[in-house]
Amino acid sequence: MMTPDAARLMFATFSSDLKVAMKGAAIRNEWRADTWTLQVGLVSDALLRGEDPEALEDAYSIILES
Amino acid sequence: MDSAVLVPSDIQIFPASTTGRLSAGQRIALDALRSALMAHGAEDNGVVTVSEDEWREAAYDAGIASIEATQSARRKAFLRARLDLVSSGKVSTDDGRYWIPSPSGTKRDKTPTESYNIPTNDTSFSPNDRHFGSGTSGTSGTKRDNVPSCPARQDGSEAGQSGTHPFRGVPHVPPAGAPMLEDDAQAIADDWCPE
Repeated sequence: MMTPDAARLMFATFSSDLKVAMKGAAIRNEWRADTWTLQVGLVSDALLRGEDPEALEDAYSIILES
Repeated sequence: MDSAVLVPSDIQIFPASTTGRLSAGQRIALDALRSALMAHGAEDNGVVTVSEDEWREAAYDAGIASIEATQSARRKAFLRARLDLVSSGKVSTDDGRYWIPSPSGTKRDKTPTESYNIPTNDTSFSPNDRHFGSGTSGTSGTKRDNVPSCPARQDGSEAGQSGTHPFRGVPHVPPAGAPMLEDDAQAIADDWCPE
């Protein structure tokens, strides 16, 4: 798992829209600091695999019915 | 007993369908995963899994997006369905492999030491994950020596419930999974993303 510092550096490279989308998901779903680290690591992996950043933004904007 | 009386009841005998709350895309993706597991599933430690590519291709073949949809639209449709299914626990994932977890009360639940269904390092994720209270917390024993002390508060007061002694010297620690204040999540989010 990525270290928090590495995650912050990686997060800084994300597009502004993706950052905002992740922030919205974080607040809605009450992410803790370690959740942020994990999510950033997984998003980084997804981007490296060639996932569309816009698709990730959309995914983070989804509000699931509970 | 010579007779019986039938009384109307609201008790539901049969469980509700597990797919009742799924969107069309999620249902197609889940069915596609079943198909992919049957066609391409690889067994490891008693768990049959497929790769993301195998699942994605099955979902495309199953029509998760219309034929006229662009490649990008199809990818988005699959990504949304995948994240929803993983976040809702209907699909499990680890190291790029996907499978359908056994329902609760299965063998795994009765034999927790057996790696029957979900690898112990399961890192299923979703944007809808809250936090990870289980699996990453806990102690390796019950002895006091194994329990680290919480850092002192900034105001100098001792952590713990006021007016009581901490149990066996262990300061009060909120239970794992305890609800977090929305303000805390907001503050953490602002710290990560001031925008």
